[in-house]
Amino acid sequence: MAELDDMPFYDKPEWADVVPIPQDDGPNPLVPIAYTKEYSTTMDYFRAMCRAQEKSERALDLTKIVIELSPSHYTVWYYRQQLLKELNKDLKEELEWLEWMVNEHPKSYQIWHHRQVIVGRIAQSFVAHTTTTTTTPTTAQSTEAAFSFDDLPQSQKTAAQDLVNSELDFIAESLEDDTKNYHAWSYRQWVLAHFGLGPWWVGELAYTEELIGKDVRNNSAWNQRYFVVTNSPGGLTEEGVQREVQFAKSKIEQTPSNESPWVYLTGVLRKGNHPVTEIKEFCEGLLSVPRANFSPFVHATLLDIYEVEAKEQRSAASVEKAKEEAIMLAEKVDSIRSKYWNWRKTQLQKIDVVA
Amino acid sequence: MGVLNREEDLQSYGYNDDGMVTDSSELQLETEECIRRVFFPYTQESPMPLPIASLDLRKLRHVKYVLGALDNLASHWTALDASKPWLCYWILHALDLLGYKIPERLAVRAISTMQHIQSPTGGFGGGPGQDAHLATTYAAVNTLAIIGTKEAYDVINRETLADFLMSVKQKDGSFTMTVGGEVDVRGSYCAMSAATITNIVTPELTTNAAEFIARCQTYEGGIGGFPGVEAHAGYTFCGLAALELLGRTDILNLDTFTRWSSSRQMSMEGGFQGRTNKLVDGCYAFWTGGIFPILGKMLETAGQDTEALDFVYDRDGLQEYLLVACQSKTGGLRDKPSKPVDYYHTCYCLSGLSLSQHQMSFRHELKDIAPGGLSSLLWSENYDKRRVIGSPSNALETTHPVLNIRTDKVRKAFLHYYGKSAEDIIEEVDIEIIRS
Repeated sequence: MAELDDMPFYDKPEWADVVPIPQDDGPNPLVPIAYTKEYSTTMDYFRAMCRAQEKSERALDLTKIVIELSPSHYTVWYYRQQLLKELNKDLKEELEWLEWMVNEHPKSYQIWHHRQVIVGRIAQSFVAHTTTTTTTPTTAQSTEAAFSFDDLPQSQKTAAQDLVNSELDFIAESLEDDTKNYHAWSYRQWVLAHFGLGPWWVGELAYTEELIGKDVRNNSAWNQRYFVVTNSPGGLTEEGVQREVQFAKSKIEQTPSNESPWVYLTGVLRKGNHPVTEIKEFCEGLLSVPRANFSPFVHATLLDIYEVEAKEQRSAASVEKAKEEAIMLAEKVDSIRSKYWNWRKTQLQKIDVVA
Repeated sequence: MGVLNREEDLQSYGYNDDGMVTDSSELQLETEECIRRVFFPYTQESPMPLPIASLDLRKLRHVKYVLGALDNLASHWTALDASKPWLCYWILHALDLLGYKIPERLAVRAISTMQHIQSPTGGFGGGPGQDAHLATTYAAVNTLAIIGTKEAYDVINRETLADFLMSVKQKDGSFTMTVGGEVDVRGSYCAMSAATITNIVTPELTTNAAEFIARCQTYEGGIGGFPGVEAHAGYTFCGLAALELLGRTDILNLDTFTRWSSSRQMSMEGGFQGRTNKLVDGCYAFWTGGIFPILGKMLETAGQDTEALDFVYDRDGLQEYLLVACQSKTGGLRDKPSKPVDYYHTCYCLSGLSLSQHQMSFRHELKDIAPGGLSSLLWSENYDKRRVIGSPSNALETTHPVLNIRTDKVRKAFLHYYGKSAEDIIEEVDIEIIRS
């Protein structure tokens, strides 16, 4: 009946028994908000549900109403999580609603976290054995895998794969609107790690390559790539290091003034226990490329390299060479950071020179 | 130093896209174009450049702007219904920095407001009847410390606060923001800050806390919200400040951390970005700019030559960005000229400005008499290194580089919560200041 649907829920007969609890701000509070009548009454009823700890369908419906009015109201989200559990609700339906919510509010901590909690529960429901022993939502946050994927029976493996893949698809869609959405990337890492060392890690490396291909300056994609190569099955092997070094170098050649591949390159070398001096030839080579020779990153990396050499060789000449880079950076190519480069220069001056 | 008065034209300091346009470079160049326009009148490119000395922080207008929020917020503010302590903190802290004396009637209201927000099970939520949350607890404790009266301090139930902090503490050293909520590095800072001010830090609270934060340091050198996630200035400040309160900043890779931090200053704009290849934003004046005092302390401790340090970033550049690009003519401060003002940006632009004007440094020589939380009292201004860009009246009050409330409010709170030991230390610090 149309008239009844237009009626706010609190005017409907099924809510008549509830005594709403008004908000108690005290007298003359700071930052009072001029709530709409709809919102303040809805909250009065929510408070009543909370007070009574009522775990019913109507309470569940109410949480949705509150959330849609005020999506960052974390108290209500938690209450909803408890209700979903107690009432044993269909979590797949919840995920559909969340998809819509995330599109409306892509930067909401609560919505992404709620999704994580729900997916964590779905996972627990089809996996017979977990390596964690608690069922509280907070364990869903750990990068510790909840499962050993390889040990799962085939049917559960398939279910896990399906769930992971659909989540990765969902996140990828969200990232299309904002390729650097911090919440989306955090959640993506959780999805990858939570279900153990499954086959999705292979696809993820390609995904980062795709995003880097679209925007070589997308630092979130580069960070994700690092996450993948260091966390996927087998970890970062020697072969992996070489492959990643080549990959980063090729991107640097495209955009020598782009910070992302540079810091990725030195990060991978460090992780693989390779000295930065290994890329000396590459960096010096860039000096003769007109586009590249004023890139602050070429000179910054050369400074790092010459500093290592100066510490090894301990000759005045090698220290001078490093100092020249620091001066070049401070005075010409990266003057905003002159204080930092001058500080690096003073560190060089501390090197104990023997020749 | 500075960005307005450089040898070359502004454009030459701008981003070099290497002839390969992507979304990131497009956005960056767009932003630079906008900043260049507001900078232009002060640069040598202008036919009659305005002197930098004329740069004026319109304090009165900002005061009026923030005061306006205290009594009546329109219904669209329902979006922040779970953030009332934040609103109070942003506003009161801005007033404090601007040197506006908070009147008694406001103090009374703040006390009552927080009282009604405090959760019966401990901590503070976003509003009355809401679950406690670490961020709003942080904001509430700071708000009460800003009020700085015995009545304000007494609002906080320290016992239940300790219970709340332990209820969100995880075995791996991290904290969930609320019971059942998300884990990230903000929680570590919020918990440590509130616990330090109210003197309820225990070994149980801090077990593994430093180790968790260390795992959040990425290959870039900055700190992400959670292990593996991208380095981000907001989380970096939180992680660093938490480590400072834990006395464990040594756990970080200092070289990569220093490099990452100084790399966040934008070459043309002078302000800071929050992540690699993202845009400048006034609020990072605090989150990124706030790294440097603590970083300075770390470098000094590592014996790495204090003389060369006047902070490893361009203080003038940051101040020029804030004064020229972040002030609204009608009051309040903002991210960048294309964005509207808001209370959050007002608070953090001013906080960053204060930390840039006053070099807050740590009294290492008194370390041994100020263990644990008391070491927070050892921060004081190095007057020789004071640097106020523009009109001298732009000078703001000093803010504490770790807790981000005014330093005199920190002292008062510590006198209340730590008693005689705080008194003794403050005396020593003052003697040292006079001596130097």
